[in-house]
Amino acid sequence: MKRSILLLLLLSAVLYQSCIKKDFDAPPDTSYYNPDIPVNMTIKTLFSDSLGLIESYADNPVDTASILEDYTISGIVTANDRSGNLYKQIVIDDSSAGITVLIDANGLYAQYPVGRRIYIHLKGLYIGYYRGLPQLGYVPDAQLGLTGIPATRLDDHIIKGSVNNALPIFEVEASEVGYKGTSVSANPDYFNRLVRINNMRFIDTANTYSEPNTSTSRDVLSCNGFTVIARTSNFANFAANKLPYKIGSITGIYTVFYSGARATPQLVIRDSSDVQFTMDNCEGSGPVAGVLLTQDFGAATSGVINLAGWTNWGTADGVKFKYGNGGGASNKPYAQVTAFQSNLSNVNSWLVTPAINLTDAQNPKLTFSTAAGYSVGGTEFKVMVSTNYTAGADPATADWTELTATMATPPNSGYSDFIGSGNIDLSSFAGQQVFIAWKYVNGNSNPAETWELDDIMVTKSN
Amino acid sequence: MYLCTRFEKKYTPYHNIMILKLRWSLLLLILSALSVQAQDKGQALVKGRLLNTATNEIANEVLVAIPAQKRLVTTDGVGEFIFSQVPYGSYQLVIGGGMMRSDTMRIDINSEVVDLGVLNVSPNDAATSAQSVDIPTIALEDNNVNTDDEGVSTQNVSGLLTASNDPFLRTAAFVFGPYRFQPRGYDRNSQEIQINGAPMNDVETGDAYWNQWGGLNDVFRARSNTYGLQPSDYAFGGLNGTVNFDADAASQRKQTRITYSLTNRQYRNRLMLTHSTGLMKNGWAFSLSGSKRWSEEGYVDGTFYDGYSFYAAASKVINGKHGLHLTAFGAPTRRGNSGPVIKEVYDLAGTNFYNPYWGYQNGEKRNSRVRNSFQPAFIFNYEYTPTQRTRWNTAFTYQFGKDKRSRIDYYNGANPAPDYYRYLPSWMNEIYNFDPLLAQQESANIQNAWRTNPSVSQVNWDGLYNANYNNIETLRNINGNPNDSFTGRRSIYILSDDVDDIKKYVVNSTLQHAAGEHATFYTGASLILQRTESYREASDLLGGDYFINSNQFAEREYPGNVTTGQQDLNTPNRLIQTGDRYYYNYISRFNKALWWGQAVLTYNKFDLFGAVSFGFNSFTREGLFRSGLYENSSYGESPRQNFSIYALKGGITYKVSGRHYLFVNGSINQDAPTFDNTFVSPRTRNQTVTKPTEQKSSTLEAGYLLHAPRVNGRLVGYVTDIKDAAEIKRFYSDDSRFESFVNYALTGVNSRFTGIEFALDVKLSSAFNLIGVAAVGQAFYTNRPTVGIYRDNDTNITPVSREVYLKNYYMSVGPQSAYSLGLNYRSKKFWYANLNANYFDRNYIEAAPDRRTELASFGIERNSPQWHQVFDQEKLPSAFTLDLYFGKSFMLSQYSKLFPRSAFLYVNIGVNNLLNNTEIRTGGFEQLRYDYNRPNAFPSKYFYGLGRNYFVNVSLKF
Repeated sequence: MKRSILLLLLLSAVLYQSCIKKDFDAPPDTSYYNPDIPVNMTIKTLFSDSLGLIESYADNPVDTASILEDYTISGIVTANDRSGNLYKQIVIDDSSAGITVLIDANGLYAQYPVGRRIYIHLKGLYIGYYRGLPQLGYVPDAQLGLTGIPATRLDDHIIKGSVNNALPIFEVEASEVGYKGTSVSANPDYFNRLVRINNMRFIDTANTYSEPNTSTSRDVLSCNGFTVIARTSNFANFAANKLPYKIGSITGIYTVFYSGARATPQLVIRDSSDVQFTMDNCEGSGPVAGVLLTQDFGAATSGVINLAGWTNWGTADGVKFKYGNGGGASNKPYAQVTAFQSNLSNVNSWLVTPAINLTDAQNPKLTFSTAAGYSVGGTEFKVMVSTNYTAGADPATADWTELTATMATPPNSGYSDFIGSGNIDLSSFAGQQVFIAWKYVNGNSNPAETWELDDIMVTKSN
Repeated sequence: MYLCTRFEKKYTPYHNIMILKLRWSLLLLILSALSVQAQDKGQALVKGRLLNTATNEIANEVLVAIPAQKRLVTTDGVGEFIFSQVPYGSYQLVIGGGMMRSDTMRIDINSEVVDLGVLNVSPNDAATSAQSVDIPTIALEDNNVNTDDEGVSTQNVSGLLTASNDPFLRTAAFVFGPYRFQPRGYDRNSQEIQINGAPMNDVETGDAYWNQWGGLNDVFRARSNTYGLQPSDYAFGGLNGTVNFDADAASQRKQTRITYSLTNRQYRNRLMLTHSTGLMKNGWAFSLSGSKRWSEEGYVDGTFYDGYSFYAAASKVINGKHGLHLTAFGAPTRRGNSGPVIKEVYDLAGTNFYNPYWGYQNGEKRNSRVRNSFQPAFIFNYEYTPTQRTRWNTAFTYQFGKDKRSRIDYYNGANPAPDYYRYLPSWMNEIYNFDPLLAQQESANIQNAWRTNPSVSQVNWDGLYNANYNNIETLRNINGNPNDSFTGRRSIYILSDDVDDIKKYVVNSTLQHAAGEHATFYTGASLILQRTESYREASDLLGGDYFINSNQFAEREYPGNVTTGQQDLNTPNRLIQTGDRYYYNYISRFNKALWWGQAVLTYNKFDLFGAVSFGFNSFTREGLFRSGLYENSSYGESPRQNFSIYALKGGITYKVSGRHYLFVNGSINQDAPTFDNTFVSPRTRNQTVTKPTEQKSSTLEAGYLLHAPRVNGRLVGYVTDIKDAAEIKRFYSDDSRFESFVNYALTGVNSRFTGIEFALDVKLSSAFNLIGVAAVGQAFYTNRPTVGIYRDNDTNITPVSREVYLKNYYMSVGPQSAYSLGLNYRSKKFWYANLNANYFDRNYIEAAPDRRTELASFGIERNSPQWHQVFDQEKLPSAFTLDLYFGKSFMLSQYSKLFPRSAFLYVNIGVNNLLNNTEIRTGGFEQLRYDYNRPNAFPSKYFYGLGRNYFVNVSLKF
């Protein structure tokens, strides 16, 4: 027994002293450390005639140049590949100018978060233009386009500095950077810079940021009628989001795309939060140019809808259009109509807009979105237009024309997502005054489908 | 020759544990003899005399036992021994122990007096403890199954062989074993492993995980082997036979043992302490054992080992008929792994022992692939021996615990693996194909970085932490609650554990009855219930605050869809913190029941046996996550998958004479497919392959055995056909139809295993033996299996069906030709030395199915160089090695009177690969990912065998 105890003691002694460490210290967080690297070059100078490295794009669209001197630039990261709208690129701004840096690697946002200062040793790198946009990268490929800096060379060329630096954002007027009619030029002062433009709205609010299979350009129109393009990659994680309706500010990297001698200004937004369209009207006074009517039913989350100028017509309050906030896909208030549990048969409910004046309207369009639930058949939901309706009257007294729109498909159980109607062309009513109505018809009281309506917008292009 | 090994309970010195048990039985026996008992007809007197061959002197005080009868005697002053009243029958006689080498022989008792004459014994080469116990066990522990990124089982060494005195099996175990030799090419799961009669094979894979009792060598020494189709006393057996460990307390000899081992393999140091009481007069026996195996770094860079083992057992024997045994053991072990890479990477690293899994963190080596397992087992046995002819053993087992395998996981980040193909010179050639000079320059830059910068050539932990530090993001709508959000550092990279948490209940009962002098009957039944919870959990957020439970591949596949990317719709947008489960989470439940029966008949000229087993195996999957991709097939319990299993085998041995034996055995069987090969993607859904089918096999083995005084040998031929096997491979498919991860379900796979095993052990003199062993086989596919390709990140669950042209490709089962020539020297002065020269050849790498399809051959001219490049199977270079073993035992009482007579010191030294050949590729596989346009884009990966490696073992026993 003594022997066993001795052994046990010996065992525990050995076990103890030969313990192998299990936990590792976290490495230091170097995010706020800024190396003191001397900077001897600016982006603006790099591309200037004085340095003579590279001719201007106008003189030589395919010019690239190798940098053989020990130049170092330093800038703040203003955009990266976090959302996927940029791919193998980051954009930096050194307060003289901005530049797109091509890097042959994924997940750059982990190393180069927006707001980080970085230092770039330029010797051995290349500068050039892509469709007029200044870029920094690596050896040109066979088509003379710059390649990305190889991932295996990154640490030689790009030194990381502190994070959370203030971003150089340029508040610009749409007139400075946009165009009217057909674009012919862009403003080179803002190439590769982070700009913010106020009082903007999307035209195609029935659409998503990008089509599923290709990068997509969407027009963004200012209250005073200037257009810039929002260019979005189909790989961006917000590509399938619906374009927001309403008005507000848009922030993004200002870029250019030359096609021949014709330049198109393109805004590359970094994330959908770069689009803050929260206002119903332009700043200052008066309705937004081009917007004839908007309604997102944000006034309340319950109760019967009662909006100035609108007609909410139904045989009883219970089957009129009501405010709803069922959470779900839209997660914001909307209009809802149903005969479910009303104990009424032959329900015939209408929600009619105020009069909309299409005088002088070019390309007038209607968009809205719908969702529906509990398919039973026998329920009808339609969008109609009338030119001889009187506000507040029984809709049955007027003539109505049905409009063709994409409507939600109610599932057998639960609700569908909200889907866009598509652009509904109202140009055949141009020059007239119209009313638009959503009509819900249900023969039986129970069961009945429930329909939801949201984000109504009537626009014109002038 | 099954009769020689059938009762192969080796009473080698470390096995004579049993003998103590027997000593006590003997006492009982004498007592019972005193009571009135009629002299049975059919009982015999057995006698003989022992001679020490080393000294030509009589051998006194040597133990002689008939284990089946639990009878034990010691030779007297003139070396004689006598057993009386031995019932007629066929028995194993075990001679030796202590200073004498133990030997086992079969005796047939069929007359009243059996005089065995003079039997030779030789001094004990105690050192076989190093060879026969330690080395194979280490090989087994080293070769735990691992799954690589590409879904290939990277370590497929069979763990089947254990020590045996058969020259073929011994050589296959510790000479061929380290070079990935697999006996006959069979799977790991083809050997049935029991501990105290409790089945230990995993119910899910059929494999036995020897690491569960790793480091307990002292108490897991007594074992009985059968090989091939030979009948076993314990179970029906697999194609590769059975191993049963006698690891109860009563089976441990009375001793205290301290062992220290020094090695340069997986671990550096091992310390083992064991104390056993043996069976005491009061009928109790207790045994305790503990060990620690450790190293800061093993043979391969960045690996470490931190293993403890515990064992505690108690036995109570009541009036010789009832034995109650409680045995508990476990081996909590953490170890850092290494992994295979492609040749380009080995060249870049400048060593064949490059390990991509580690990197420096704050200047210390940290391994990202750590295996951490602790699955202790508790076995309760009731052993009932009503008569000497009948033995009934029932084992109840409870086993539980976790097996964790860590890895770096990441969401929307750059691949952190240093050997990722886009970080290599070959990729530079690809992207700079327009400028060869530039490609060369970039390659040189990478080569230079690999030589000088470990943050390039290894995992860059500091970089991963800093990526996480900088990534401030807001997680919204947490758990589906619109008002709940969290802003913090969203980890891009984390360390995660793939966890299997098991609870297993087993009842196994075996009845053995010797009916008369010729026949022994066996029957047994077992019931296995196992519940395994499998999930991935976040184990280290690497400096971040949270991780997200999203499938980035599904998000990419369905942009804008907020549900498909969710891994668990029941708690969408979950904030994952350390210890939280994510990605997958499911329970598998197994019910398996089996009955078997066996008859063994022994006659003068013929031995016959026949055995049958049947039962069922069934399992279900219960998903605990509702995946966004498979909303309706991921959550909840799947339909039960039922499979019937059966097996039949039989054989006959013709004894030409006492020296020459001819035998032929055959078997057929049907077994259930495994869980992982039934469910298309168990991690994500309940979907099964189109028609899960039982696998069938048939085997024939025949041979000649020679047992002459100076020559022992065997020549055995075998053939096994396996039909309807299933295998699912999981990898990224570059097929333009998928371009995503796929589950590549091969079904109806047929294969053949055939070959010859040869061994010859010639006694050159009393000190020298020459042993030649050869194993030459062929394991190959015999048909073109069908594959069903199931997308893994797509709601479309209909498979695409193709034919895979695998016929006549070799299976990757280690060297299919292995030869060894050994010279053994045994000194009279209790030391020995063995030198083995070995040669391995015909080791084929695993053929990837996707490059054996019609699609892969598109546009390639038949028999053109390109054709051969794509379709030929690579044979690894042959290898030559030398191994040296040395051992000596010291009887300490000869050196000092302070020591009792039972005190021994054993020293064993083994050096493998004496010539330090570091170029031995022991295995490899074609990467499953295959680019049809660039056949060499994803080259094969290889494993290398260790260079010169040693094992020094010092053991003190008293």
